[in-house]
Amino acid sequence: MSIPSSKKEVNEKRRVDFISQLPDDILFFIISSLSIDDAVKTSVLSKRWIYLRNNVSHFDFDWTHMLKPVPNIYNRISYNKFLKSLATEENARKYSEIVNGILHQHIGDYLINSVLPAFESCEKLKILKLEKMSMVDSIINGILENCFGLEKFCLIESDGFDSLKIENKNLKYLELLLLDVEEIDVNVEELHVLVIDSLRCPPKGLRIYSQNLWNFSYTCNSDPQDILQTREVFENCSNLLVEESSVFTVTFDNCALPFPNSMFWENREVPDFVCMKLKFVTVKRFTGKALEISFLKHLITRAYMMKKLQVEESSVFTVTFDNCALPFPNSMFWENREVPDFVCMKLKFVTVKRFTGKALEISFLKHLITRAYMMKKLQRPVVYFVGC
Amino acid sequence: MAAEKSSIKIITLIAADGSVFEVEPNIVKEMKTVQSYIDELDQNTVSIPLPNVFGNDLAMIIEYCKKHASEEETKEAKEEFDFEFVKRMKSDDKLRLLQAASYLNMESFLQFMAKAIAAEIENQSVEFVRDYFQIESDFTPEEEAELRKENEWAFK
Repeated sequence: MSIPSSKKEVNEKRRVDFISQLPDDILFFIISSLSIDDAVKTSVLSKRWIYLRNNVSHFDFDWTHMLKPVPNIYNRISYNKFLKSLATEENARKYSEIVNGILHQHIGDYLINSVLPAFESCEKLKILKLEKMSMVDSIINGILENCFGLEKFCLIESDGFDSLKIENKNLKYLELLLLDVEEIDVNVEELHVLVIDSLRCPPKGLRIYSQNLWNFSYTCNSDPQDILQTREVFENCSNLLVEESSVFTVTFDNCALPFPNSMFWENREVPDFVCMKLKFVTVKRFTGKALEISFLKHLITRAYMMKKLQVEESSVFTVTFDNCALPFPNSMFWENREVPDFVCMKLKFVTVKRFTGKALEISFLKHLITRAYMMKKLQRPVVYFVGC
Repeated sequence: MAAEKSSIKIITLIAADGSVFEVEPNIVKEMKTVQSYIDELDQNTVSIPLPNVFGNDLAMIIEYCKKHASEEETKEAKEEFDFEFVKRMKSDDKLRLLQAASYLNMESFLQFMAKAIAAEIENQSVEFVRDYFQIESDFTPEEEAELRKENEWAFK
């Protein structure tokens, strides 16, 4: 309890290097109160401030401080325009890069077992992309929990965790790429877009409850056999495509054929995966394999509301009529549909194999011919063509 | 113990420059350093020396505490007060008050001052902040350049 040396204070206006005498906690308060760019800048002050920045518990990832508008037109109008343009991919990408960078510096060697301190209060964070990160379960799930304001979340090629729990209410866009996990729970009512690519996960581990999904895209682009296959996703996510979904993309891929069991769809009594309101279906890399057809057939027969079936990346559409996997077992199918407008307008080449002249085969061809306006060539090795 | 505490009517705080302040017990509640001192004593009146706080600063802190301890004041009035309070402080005052708040262990006032100081260095250059905090850089120019490069976007 002694009065501090007053001489020094009189000379230097009482603030000689006092800031370095303050405990970390107080300096944390200051850093936490700064916008993200100023907070990052403090690490250049001195070595102690690097330590401080790396241990602070609060960052506001506010993009207005991270992506600066083009200089010299910083007026109100152009600023608002800038706000809008943030929605563009370019800015979102830049933003994620910066967040990525800050996190990388912040967590250093990743050897932390609790929530990343940077995410203890991140309600302002709306877009987050984590790429090539290594995080244990508690960290990644803690991040998700703390960033409850997230609207767009991309998790790419990251490891260290076994389970993911995504329940962020405001999330609209979710991308999960190249992950290897035991379980994923997606429980986001308002989720609009879900993109999954090359996911390694036990089929039963993927649970998706998103009633308002607009666009679901599932792809298996990598080789390994334990990559979760499309079929398995559908098999186990009965709630995946529920009422409000209207866009659906299937990618058929040689390396990960979605339907190894041709009887799969037929065997299911209540194939509850179908969205009744499904309006647009895009099929990619369709190769005409029996089980792909069987899958399409399944789609077509269940999706009563479907308006358009688009076959992309495959200008050749091969239909193989085969006794073992006849695409249309119900001859009334096509007739019963009033507007079976499933045909891709861009379809140019159609090959029909093993055509036997059965009524429903004819009906199918008729349908194809009448809808595929762009068709240039219809190949048909067998000649029994009964006029329709 | 509780009864003894409540029997204290007036607390006398003595600043570094010898100036004396008489305050009510509820005013010092926020000052944990003082409060724990009082809790240890068994007296009706106490006088506490605060050798690390200057009279001017203590006066301001007490003013702040009075306003915020008051139950009659509305939230809006307190915010208005905070705004004016910061406005009439000079840059150096803020640092001194932060230091005092740290010494007195006043959590909410600390946060309040930290915010005020953050506002002071907002959008300022590293050089300005170094000068303001009187920090001497312990980086070599190369190290500093490297750090700046690492987060280039922040320095634009």
